[in-house]
Amino acid sequence: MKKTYAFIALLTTIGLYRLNAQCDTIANFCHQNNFSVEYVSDGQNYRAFLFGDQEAEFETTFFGGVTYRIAACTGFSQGDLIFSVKDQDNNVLFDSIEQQNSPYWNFKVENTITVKISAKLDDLENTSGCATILIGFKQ
Amino acid sequence: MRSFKSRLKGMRVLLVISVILTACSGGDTDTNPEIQPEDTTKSETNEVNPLNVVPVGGAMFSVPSPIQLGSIIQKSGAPYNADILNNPKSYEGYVDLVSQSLNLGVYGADLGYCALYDKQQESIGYIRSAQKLSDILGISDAFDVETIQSVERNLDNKDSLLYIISNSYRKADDYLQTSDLKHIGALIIVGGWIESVHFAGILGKENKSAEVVDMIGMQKHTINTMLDKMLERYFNEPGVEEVYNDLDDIRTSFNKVNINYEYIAPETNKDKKTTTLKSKATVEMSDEVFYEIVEKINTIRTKIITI
Repeated sequence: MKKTYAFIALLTTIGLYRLNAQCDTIANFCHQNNFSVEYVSDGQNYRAFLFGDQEAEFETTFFGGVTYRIAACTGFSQGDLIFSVKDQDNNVLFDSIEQQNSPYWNFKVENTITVKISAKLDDLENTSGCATILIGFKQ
Repeated sequence: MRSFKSRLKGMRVLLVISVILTACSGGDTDTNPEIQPEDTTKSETNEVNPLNVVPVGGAMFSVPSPIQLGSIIQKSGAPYNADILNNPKSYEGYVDLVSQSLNLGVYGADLGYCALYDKQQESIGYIRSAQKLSDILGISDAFDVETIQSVERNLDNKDSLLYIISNSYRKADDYLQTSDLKHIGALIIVGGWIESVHFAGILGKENKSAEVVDMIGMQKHTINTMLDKMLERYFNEPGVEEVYNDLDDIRTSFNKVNINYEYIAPETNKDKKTTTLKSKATVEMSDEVFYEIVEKINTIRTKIITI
């Protein structure tokens, strides 16, 4: 029985290590498919492993007069990560689920504000995955 | 003999251990930022699912891009000023990991600044310095031969150049996040931030416009993120605590800045896949606090770039 436990643990570990490795390439896939020369990446990758209905969240500053693009990916197909943008008081400013899970969206910012960006898996597509969000700004 | 139920329980424990081990891969000895449950005692009215919110990578990534800040400065009409940049040849004098990492960030901001102002030869100088430092730090893939050639081919195309530069830094970030070198990634971000706020500070000294005050004042949020969610995790790495303490001193000045927020409903254009955000945040900062922050940024920046 001990061997069975060890075997199951090994398989699980290998599977999850592969998921971790996949995380490395998702960002590149996401960038290639959602950004053009028109939008410059902010140079960072925002990512987290998500399981079930977990939600990943981080804050960022959007500067007035700038148009941003947010792209969200969790695999090698578009639109399987739902993302939203909220303000500091948790008012929802945007939710991709209302836009047919659009893999990217543009945000024209009139005044500098702090926003919270969150992402969760589309439970119809995945039960776990590496959520990756990229932000770019228009030149 | 153990029951089936207890065996199942054992398997679950193994599964959980496997998940934790995998999530911690990369040898990060700190608390894994990717699976930390959020403080559920917070009461936030519109939270979709407060029990299951995972902070992304310690939220370290909410630091504004140096190129973005440089772009705002360039669009404000400020003229190019080579004197505000670090010397591209200084890279040889940075001999420890902390100064090499911080200055890779500084060079990234300088490179972006030169590219924004179409300074082609200066851009080449900075990309070569960035390449040297990234080689030393073991992240040469971000500035490989192909990238350098691509930069040289696109010197007269600002848009392509900025795209290549920012993508190189993104690749470096991608690599560092999955390695044992996350603290290097954090220090690169700090270096880039210091240099770009230094640009804004110089501009503000010449012309303290509302735009510059906003740009600097809104960094109050950024400095809190850098300290509490990023650098604090790498205290065990040599030199990080000193950088933390220097930034913490700047935070005491940022604590005197007030930011008032007003919600205004956004407007969405589905055809253009664009939402216009109309809400307002007003920065209140006295002249005294403004210059105090600018001076402190200048002091830490001088400390970083001095050989």
